[in-house]
Amino acid sequence: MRDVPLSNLERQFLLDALEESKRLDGRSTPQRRPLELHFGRVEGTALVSVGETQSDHASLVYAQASASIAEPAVSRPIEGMLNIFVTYCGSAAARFADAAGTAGGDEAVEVTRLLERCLKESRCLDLESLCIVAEEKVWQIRLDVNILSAAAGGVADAASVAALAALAHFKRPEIHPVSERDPVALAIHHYPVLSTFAFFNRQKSGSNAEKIVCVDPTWQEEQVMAGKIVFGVNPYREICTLHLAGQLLIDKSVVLRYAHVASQHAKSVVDLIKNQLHEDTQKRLAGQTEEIGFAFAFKQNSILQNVKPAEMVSTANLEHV
Amino acid sequence: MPAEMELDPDNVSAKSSPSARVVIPGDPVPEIPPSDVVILGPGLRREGPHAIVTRPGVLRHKPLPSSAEKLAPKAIYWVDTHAKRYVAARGEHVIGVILAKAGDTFRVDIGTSEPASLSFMAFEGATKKNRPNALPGDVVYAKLLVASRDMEPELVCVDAYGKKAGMGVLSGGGFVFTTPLHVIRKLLSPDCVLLKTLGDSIPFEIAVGMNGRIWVRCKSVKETISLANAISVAEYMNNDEIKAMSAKLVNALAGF
Amino acid sequence: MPVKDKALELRPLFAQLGLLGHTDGSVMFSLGQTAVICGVYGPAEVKPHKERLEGATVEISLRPPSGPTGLQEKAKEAVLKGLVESSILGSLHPRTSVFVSLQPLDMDGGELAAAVNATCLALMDCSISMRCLFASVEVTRTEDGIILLDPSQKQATKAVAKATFVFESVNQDVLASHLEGRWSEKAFQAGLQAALDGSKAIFQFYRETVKRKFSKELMMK
Repeated sequence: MRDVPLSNLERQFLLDALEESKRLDGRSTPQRRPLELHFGRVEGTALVSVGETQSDHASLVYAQASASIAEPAVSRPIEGMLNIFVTYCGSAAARFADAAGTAGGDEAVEVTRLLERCLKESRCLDLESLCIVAEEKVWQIRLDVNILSAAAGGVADAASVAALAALAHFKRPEIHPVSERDPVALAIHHYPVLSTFAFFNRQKSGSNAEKIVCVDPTWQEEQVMAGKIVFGVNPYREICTLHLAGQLLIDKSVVLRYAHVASQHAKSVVDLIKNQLHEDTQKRLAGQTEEIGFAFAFKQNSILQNVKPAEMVSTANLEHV
Repeated sequence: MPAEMELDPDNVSAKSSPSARVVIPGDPVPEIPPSDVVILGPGLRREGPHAIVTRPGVLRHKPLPSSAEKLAPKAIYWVDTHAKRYVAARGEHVIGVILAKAGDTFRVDIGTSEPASLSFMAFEGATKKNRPNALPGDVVYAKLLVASRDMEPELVCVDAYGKKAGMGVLSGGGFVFTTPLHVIRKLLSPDCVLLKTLGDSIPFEIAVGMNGRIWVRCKSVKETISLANAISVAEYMNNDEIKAMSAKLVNALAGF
Repeated sequence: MPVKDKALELRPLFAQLGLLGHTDGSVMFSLGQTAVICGVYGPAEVKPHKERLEGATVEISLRPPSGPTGLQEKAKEAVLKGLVESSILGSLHPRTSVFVSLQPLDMDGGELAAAVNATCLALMDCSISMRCLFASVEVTRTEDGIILLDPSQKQATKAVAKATFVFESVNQDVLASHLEGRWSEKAFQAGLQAALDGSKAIFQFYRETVKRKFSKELMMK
């Protein structure tokens, strides 16, 4: 299905607004959209929304981590494996509404590669702790990232938070020759988070003039930008991923400056994950099973929401069998 | 989450029409007296001798002026629905985006299942030699000449007298945004004070498309964005709330 | 043998409409802990080789929470396609498509029923013309003959047979049924009756959900 086309008027208006440091959704240029994180009932499931849900400016990503036993790679006999799969659901945007399921095309490939570079190649997950029997059996962690809503952009950033949260929430089974133990959490060394910055050329001056930078661009902003940088940075200011796209010439001081900004975002994301994880653990320990799960993620007093408690159904004529 | 969306059960006023009620698809309509001739509007359909509801919403009716004719309809019944997807209807003004040129016509996206066609000749003063100055990506304000479920929609940018009457390519800046269809209907209804209240303090130009798209232009970018937001949030507001919101908006723009 | 206390209880229901702002209709629906997100586009663009002159082309896409789409999902898609085709007034929109996309988030029993109910709610949120609504519940039967209505995964561990029934709202006719295991005629009738009663509660939930959505609109004129 075709997306609603972006008209010349809208492109021009967006650029005119940026000249005055104004963005269409009312944010300032260094402002990110609010991030919400919810864990599910099953360990290793996380739902992340960026922006106000229900508006046209929100993205929604769902990630699930699962584990299975497999043979290790010949070159790495004592390491487990992490595989990341990114799919765009048909509801993500009109352009993905295809029953044949092309699973996202170019955009999915870009997000998959960004997540792989950020999470796999940074070696944030301790793979040696996933070894069961050297050269024979290791844990293979599968991370499914489903993009439920992409029409607002910011998918890579949201996906990295969801992926990290799912890995932090997940508990793999523990195999022990003597007894069965409780599932155990994965060993994560550090938490790299993706952060996208869009660059726009100023209209009046030449391309050497300082560019306008927007943090966490929306889909429309991405259509109009000159280029973007995606950083994968952890709270210790270590850069794990650096991805430049578009037609952009950037000075190195710019790169370092925005890497610092990205690192601050990473810190707030890690705090968010840790707080939500703590709350979730408390609820599970207290046995509050009705309060866990996605159904409670969006509880608010809105007319678009309806809740009905459990009810007995009358069966006047039910015979026993 | 916007305050207007919160449920406010204490504020149910007697202003709602006494027989208006919320209906869901499949509901019968016992309000219609079986012997009367009535007009069934959107959301209702005839099945044999009865009418049934086909879309969820608020069922309303309005009596029609009485007439001496034997089969004159006595009332019109319809359902006020909330929808985002536009279905083309003849005579409606819409805002479209030109997708491409194909021979002597433009293919224009108006949000329907198929793009509409707009002939080069359907502009004021257009001749074979004098073609309209429009490119793919431009925004047009046009009227639906042909709109049926079996045919591709056709647009024109002239009225019956051959004059543009406000239609044509929208240029000179401005901003286009989308709202659900019921917001458009509310905006254009004579009881709604939104446009008038805002217009008293902020000068603006506006083109409202029945396909859910609105074009606005004010003197500055700030005013344009504020106006667009004001229209979007007025979805669940009544006239008093709209007046209060407009006053706040004007103050904010003036810098208080 | 007496019927167990919780045997005929329908788990808590939750619906949040309009969750995906850019779709024509959407819902996040949960039946107990079984949660699913559904988005609908329609009547929208259709590819020329799929277009039908008599009415809308219905397409369903159901993805599992993890892993690639398999035969189970394809089977559910086929059931949903039939339901949507029977209930929408497709003849009003020839040469268009109605696209339904479902993503289950948590599977705790009654997954097909939850997917069916989410689809109906999303179609209502989309406001496409429909001749009736549809609702579904799962029932299971244990070895000792006890019928359980809408069991969670844990409650269904002792089940020897499962059945999911879908009913329509106007005449309470059965639109679809999916059976697993063996059902004697008596057990089948009992299961069907229990499911019918459960579905009535779900239709009532639909009505309340729509009433809430239009509560402000009702107050306005």
